[in-house]
Amino acid sequence: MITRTNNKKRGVFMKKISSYQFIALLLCCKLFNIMTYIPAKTDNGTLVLITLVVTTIIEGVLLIPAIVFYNRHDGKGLLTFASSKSRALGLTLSLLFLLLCLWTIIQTLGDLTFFLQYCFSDTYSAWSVVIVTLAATLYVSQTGLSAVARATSIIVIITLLALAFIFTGFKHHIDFYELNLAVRNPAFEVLKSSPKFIASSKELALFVILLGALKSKPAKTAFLYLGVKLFVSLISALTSIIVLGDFIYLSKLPFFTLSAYSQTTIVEHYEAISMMLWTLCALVKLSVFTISAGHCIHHIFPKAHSVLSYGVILVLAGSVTLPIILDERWESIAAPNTEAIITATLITFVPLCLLLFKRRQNVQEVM
Amino acid sequence: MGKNPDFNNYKNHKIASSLDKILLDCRTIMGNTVDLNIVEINICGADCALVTIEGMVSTSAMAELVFQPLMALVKPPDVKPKVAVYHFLTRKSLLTAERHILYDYGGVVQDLFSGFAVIFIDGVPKGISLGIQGFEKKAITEPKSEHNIMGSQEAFTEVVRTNISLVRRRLKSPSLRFEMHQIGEKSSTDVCLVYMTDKAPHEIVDRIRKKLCSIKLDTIISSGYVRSFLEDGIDKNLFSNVGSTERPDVLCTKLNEGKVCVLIDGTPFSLICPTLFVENFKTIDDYCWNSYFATFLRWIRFLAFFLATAFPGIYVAAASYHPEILNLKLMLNLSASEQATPYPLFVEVLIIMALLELMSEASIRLPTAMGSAISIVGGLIIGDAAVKSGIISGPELIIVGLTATSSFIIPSLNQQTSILRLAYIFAGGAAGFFGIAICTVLILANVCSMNEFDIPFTSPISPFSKKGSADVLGRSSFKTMEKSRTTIDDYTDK
Repeated sequence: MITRTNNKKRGVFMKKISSYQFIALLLCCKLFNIMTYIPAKTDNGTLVLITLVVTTIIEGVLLIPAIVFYNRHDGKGLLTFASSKSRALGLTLSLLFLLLCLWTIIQTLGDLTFFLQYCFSDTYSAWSVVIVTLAATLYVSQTGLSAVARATSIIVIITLLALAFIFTGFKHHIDFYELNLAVRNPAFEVLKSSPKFIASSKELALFVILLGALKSKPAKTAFLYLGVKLFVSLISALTSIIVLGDFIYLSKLPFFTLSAYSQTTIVEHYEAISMMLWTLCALVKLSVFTISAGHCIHHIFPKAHSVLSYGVILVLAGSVTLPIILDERWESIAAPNTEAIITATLITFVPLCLLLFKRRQNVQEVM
Repeated sequence: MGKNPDFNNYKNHKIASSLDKILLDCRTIMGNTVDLNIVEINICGADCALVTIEGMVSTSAMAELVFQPLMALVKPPDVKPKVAVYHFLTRKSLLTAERHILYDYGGVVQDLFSGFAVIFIDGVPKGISLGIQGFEKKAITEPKSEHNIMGSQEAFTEVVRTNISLVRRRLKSPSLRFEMHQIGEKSSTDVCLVYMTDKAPHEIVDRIRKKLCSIKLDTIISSGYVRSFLEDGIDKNLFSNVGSTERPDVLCTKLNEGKVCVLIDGTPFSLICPTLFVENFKTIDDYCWNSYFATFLRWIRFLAFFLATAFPGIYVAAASYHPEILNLKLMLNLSASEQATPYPLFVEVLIIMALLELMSEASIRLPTAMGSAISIVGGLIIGDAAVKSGIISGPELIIVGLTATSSFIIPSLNQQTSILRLAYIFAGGAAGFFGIAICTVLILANVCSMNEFDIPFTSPISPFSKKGSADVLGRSSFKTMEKSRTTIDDYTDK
């Protein structure tokens, strides 16, 4: 009656999740990035919208090998397949994906702490935010992927409803003249900005790592997610541009500033609510990446206890993040181009290589 | 079996042949208890004894259905007296609907304490038990914890057999099954497993049956004793997958949805497995009113749950950490009222919530007449005095009033709302909206991880089921329900 991947006794017990739950997980991770997007000084509003469309198309193309892999191997997980073919290959890929997950956890935790301190400096200390967030993430992660997926479906609805309120609360401030395209070489600028957007799409790595936990329809999942993500990103970017105008470049967090502008009859300002939404999405993102990292650890150390591995990952992430935040060097550690290359390589070339590996093996067997 | 039977080893001990030995054994097993009645009589030349437990049998039924026919018995000439009486009791008479032939003292004790009369015949190593129960029992009354306006006004009683008849009367289907189990090493309480064979998934029925049979408690006094054995994660979950009801009509609807129910002798509350979170928001009246009005009321209940759990915490978070989200006039009013009070808002709300819980507990434990007095003392005197003396601010009374009223709307979630409310107040008071968000995710993760019987507790909302959610977000029309016929199997996380 129930489809499960892997063996419960071996530490990882992952129930399959539906296509919609998978989309909710990816979207929740993306929403955190959308809400904490920091614009570059050189960004042009209209160009950002075009870049979002172009980047989404590129991401769609990048995911094709993973989709084909899933269909060719009847829903088998990528890491499980690699481990079954060659222990060394399985170990290498697990280690690479583990590092990516760990880096994403560090980034998310750091971003949440940094923005909470930046926007509510009187209220929250870095220590308390990191410790409370890590403890909560550990609890949420140990409930398992299916429980997190179910919770995320509800959180996504709450977040989207709240975003709808925020985006509709400032009708008096709209200025469509901000949508100009005053750029010399738009095509070049789009290509130049794309890596930054791809680097912020690390949730696509989840699609590859957790592919084996998807019940069915990988293509529908991937493309529906990209469609919804594009829609939400465009709405968010468009609203920020037409409401904030050039002020967008002065504010570190456009979404947060947008929330301060937004006003309804009941809620006077939405900053605190937007911070609540960050926290909700950040916790989901941290939990999913922790579970994914635990999945990678399981392929490296098959007998490792899942909760223990989650604990190790989170302690490691906390001990890296906290000194950087306390030292006020958080903003200087971003490297979007490198991150974009690593992300694209892992989500595209790994499944592609495994597909080719399989094809070569088949040809050798026939000969 | 060399030892004489006593209360430690009687269960499998075979009934003796001699009547004197049988009666001695019965007295030894039961320690010559004062409520053990033994009537020795001679019927057609055979020495017999009628054993009963005082207060458990109907004396009129015993006189009419047992004594009269036995006294009128005429022994056939060529048959031994003991054989004639035994044949009459077992084959040639219809004294009562329930008749058991007993071979060991385990059965004798079980039947005696269930209100049967047991007849022993000298020279026959068996007992014949006749069902003439007539113990005092509570009459069928109105439900006390699940009031309604238009539905049935009958509630379960404390006698499991009566409860079985209340269910059977409403579901005249041969697929409705009652399985009786005796649970409790000392109490041997009748626990009845109820399900519909064509609706309930066999895996769930088997699992519950197995769990019931594995209970090794000495006594089963209330439904709570059984409930904890039916749930695997009862110690770590905030909510419960096992629901309860005292209404036979509700039980019938649940059985028709494929759920498995447990009736327990001695308690009017039956258990329902599995129960979903959203079912706490449904009432039997929803199906008596127009669908649009029932939908409206259902959303009122969802709102009440939110107000009862999260609202005080959100209020503390907003007023203490994020006053900018409040309307300017409201913020100024709150600020003015808070200036006169000595404690931080967080402490004030905790005080008033503790007071609310005290009043609530006092009104439950005290007799009804005094319970209303407690409400007056709590609501008017303490509340008014607390505001006038400046210990708490006025708006907090509105918050607590709203919260208390909302929590009364969903009595089945009363335990959870009390605890979650405190959790939210702590979270909001300690870290504002950041704390509220953390608290929400933790609660959601806990609730969503409940998957007893492979049916997610949050079904049909998450995972979403279009078919199932039609009667959750709104109230489906009966025409739709006629077509869809949703059962619990539709929610299985396949």
